[in-house]
Amino acid sequence: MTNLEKYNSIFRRAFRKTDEELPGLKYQGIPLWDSIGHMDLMNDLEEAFDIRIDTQDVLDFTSYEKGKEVLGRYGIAVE
Amino acid sequence: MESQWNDDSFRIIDPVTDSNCYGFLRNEKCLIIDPNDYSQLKPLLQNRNIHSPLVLLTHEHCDHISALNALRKDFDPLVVASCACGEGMKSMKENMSRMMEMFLYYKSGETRFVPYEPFICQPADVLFSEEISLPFGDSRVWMKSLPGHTHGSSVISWNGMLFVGDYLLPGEKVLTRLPGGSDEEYEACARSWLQNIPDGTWICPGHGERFQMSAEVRQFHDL
Repeated sequence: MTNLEKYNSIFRRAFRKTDEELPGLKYQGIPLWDSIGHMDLMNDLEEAFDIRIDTQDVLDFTSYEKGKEVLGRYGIAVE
Repeated sequence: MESQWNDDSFRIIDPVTDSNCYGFLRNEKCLIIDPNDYSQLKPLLQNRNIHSPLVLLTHEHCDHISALNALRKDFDPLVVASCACGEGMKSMKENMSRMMEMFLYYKSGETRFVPYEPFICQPADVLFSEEISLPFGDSRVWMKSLPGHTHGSSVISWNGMLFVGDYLLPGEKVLTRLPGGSDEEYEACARSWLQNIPDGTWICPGHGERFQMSAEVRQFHDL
């Protein structure tokens, strides 16, 4: 599984969306992506990519697209 | 903040998370429910020369077990929890300590950052799957597994009081979306049990002040 497939699969499961619905998805843009959903998402990404996301990066992770950039800071290329 | 014995009981409110820890002394034995802030708990135990307290856990979330590692080092406690709680304590994700810093930040309305160091605990010394009854003082303390808020959630009944962890919190609906939580388990296990708590029972919640069970409480919590 590629990093992108892994990334998308976590988003799909967390927010019950299809791959086509993921681009443009934003924190607090849908009911499931609230603060609790966000913490769950961070937990799942940390587990899947075996990283520890810094608090500042958790806050920077404000959208589906921005999240790819954040993971890039940990050497995870999601493309 | 300083906590004190009130005759033979105490309550410690964790200044960081507002969680409650309850303590009781009977015949030189001490019962502690949800050890939270060790800086307050330690002097209380030293003050009464307590050794090997009985420690019961309502669930695995870090704000209810944060003093456990230090307590084990200094006071040789006997720790009792449900099997699922015992499992959850071992994981920074399941015990929520990994994301507690963020949780507190969001809970403050994104206004206050409080550093929170993630941690894990070894499982409890005594684990149970459904329920367990243990002697304490002149009576027995009873614990029942009640998953929903977390897989490892339990209620504890002793001396006419019911310790409910993060169920029935004053002014807060039950959360089943935090790590280990399950709406399905809450509906299948916890809801009907909580519904049948008799009116007048003293409820000691994991956060906030104690209160008596009533129709109003049931209504607020959709029971």
